[in-house]
Amino acid sequence: MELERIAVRAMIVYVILLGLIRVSGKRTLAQATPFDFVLTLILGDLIDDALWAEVPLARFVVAVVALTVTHVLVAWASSRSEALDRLIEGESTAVMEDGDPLRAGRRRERMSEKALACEVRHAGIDHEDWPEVRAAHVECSGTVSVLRHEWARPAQKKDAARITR
Amino acid sequence: MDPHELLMTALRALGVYVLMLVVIRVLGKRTVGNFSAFDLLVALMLGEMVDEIIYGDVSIVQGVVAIGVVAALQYGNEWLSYWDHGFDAILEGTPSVVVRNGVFDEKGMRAERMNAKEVMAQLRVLGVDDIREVKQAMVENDGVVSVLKEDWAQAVRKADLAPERGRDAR
Repeated sequence: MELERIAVRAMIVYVILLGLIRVSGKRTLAQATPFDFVLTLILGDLIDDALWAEVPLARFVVAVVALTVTHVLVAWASSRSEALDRLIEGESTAVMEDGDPLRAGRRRERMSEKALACEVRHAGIDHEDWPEVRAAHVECSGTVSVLRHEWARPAQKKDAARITR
Repeated sequence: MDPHELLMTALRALGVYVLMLVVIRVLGKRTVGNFSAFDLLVALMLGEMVDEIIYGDVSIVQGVVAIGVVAALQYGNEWLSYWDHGFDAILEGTPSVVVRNGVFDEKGMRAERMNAKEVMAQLRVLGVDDIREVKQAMVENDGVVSVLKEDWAQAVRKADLAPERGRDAR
């Protein structure tokens, strides 16, 4: 039995990953983009082979360091170049404007009108109230943002002045 | 440790990085950003396949084929649900209404195996304490509960305070 070795390897792997994530910065694996999420899965996937000693620790270290360094370099480069950023992260896609679904944007995101209706409901807006929506976008993170027209936004304290006046 | 093998590991990791980046870009932001149940599974599958490639347990070609097939299936699935000809209901399910007009909807709750406590917990997450405020709450295909409030329970809109400056003056 080599239980104690497995325990030791688990500790080493834990410390290595913790160190890498701290060094590479919070945003790296903050899952800000879909790719960040998949990269997190890949890193997690690499661990088990090292834990069960199916690969030597040295190769595990090389693999995770290579991935993390590549990711940091790519993030750094795309923060410098807008063209590269577009290539890697894509742009947000408008899928609704003034309450009307946009076909071109929906096609690009392969988003059915039902799926769009679902996203707008998440913003608390029923189908009959779609005219309240000024714009809805699929953002780079994959989430959908819904913006209301000024008149349809919740009243703010400054608006109260109009009635107390 | 064989330095050549270490170098190969690093190069394969680099290759996998580029491959996955391309796959994610082709599949689109929503695939992995905004999960329906199956999207999450696809992301897990893709993430779970790559360790053998990086460590050289399978050849790069085998890895590319496996990842390519899963990605292609997912891509086809996306178009099927976009066209909205009934396949989406089979592949992604349909939303279940759990509260209607301020009252629990037993049928939808049974479909989602949710009890009243769980529904109330989901409503609280969205800041709703009183179920009477809810015109309709449903479990959407992405597993998240959406809440539409009764008209009287909605936040006061700017247009409600100054109707003359409302819709027409936007």
